[in-house]
Amino acid sequence: VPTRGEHHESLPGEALVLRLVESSTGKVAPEAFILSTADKAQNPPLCSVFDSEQTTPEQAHRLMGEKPAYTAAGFLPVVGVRSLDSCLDVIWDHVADSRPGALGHCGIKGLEVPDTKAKRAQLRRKLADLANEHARTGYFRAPA
Amino acid sequence: MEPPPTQITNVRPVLDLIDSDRATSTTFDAFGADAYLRSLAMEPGAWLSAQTAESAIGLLRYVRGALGPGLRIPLIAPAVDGSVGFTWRNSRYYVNVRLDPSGEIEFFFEDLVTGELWSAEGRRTTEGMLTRLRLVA
Repeated sequence: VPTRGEHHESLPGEALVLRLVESSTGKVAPEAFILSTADKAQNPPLCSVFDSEQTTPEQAHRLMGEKPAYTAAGFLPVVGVRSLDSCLDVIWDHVADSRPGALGHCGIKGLEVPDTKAKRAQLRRKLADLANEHARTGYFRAPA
Repeated sequence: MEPPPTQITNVRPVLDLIDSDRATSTTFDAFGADAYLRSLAMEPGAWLSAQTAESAIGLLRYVRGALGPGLRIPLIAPAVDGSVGFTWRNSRYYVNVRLDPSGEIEFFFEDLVTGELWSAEGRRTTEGMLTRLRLVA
């Protein structure tokens, strides 16, 4: 049975996390790692992802409100995320939700750490490249 | 690390597209890009407003008009903050242009070989932006 760590504890390096994205082509774009206002308001700011051992893409889709904007899931190995920049980590983010898959909620930490917009954009580029290298993308619905 | 077998069910794998740059260059023609941008604004709970979609269409037409058909249709993606991004890349250069709901353009350039970063922002494209876009054309 998969287990999760403590709230805000780092995930093991061998974990694989998934991020719901909008994708017209199957490629994950850097815009997938833009934080919402609510994401930025968290302490620390987190980019929502799910541990793929505990949450399927379909469960994640339901947990995120089945928004039509989420058409696909991109996958990221945690060790790969950490290797992109020392400011990045993937941590557990416990949420008060009893629905299937909610236990797998995590967040990528550190996207707001770089002090320039260019460096933050570079981090998003690197994360998108990583997701595309480890592609397990699939559509929830046909692209427009 | 080799990823485990996919857990995705009832979704259409698109791995054949992912490994190829063709995915960004042939999925849309210019009219398809316009239609796609408009469709993003029409979804229930859309991140993109109709106004941002039209502004993005105008921006894309402008830069392709300025640089010619050598500038391919980019990878287009909306973001949760209501912005929309265009990404072009080749083996050396990478450009991401993001248009936010207020009409502000955020331009990011990276030389993937030297690591040079360049960014600019404003409400209009500049010669510096177009010069760098030529590198990915």
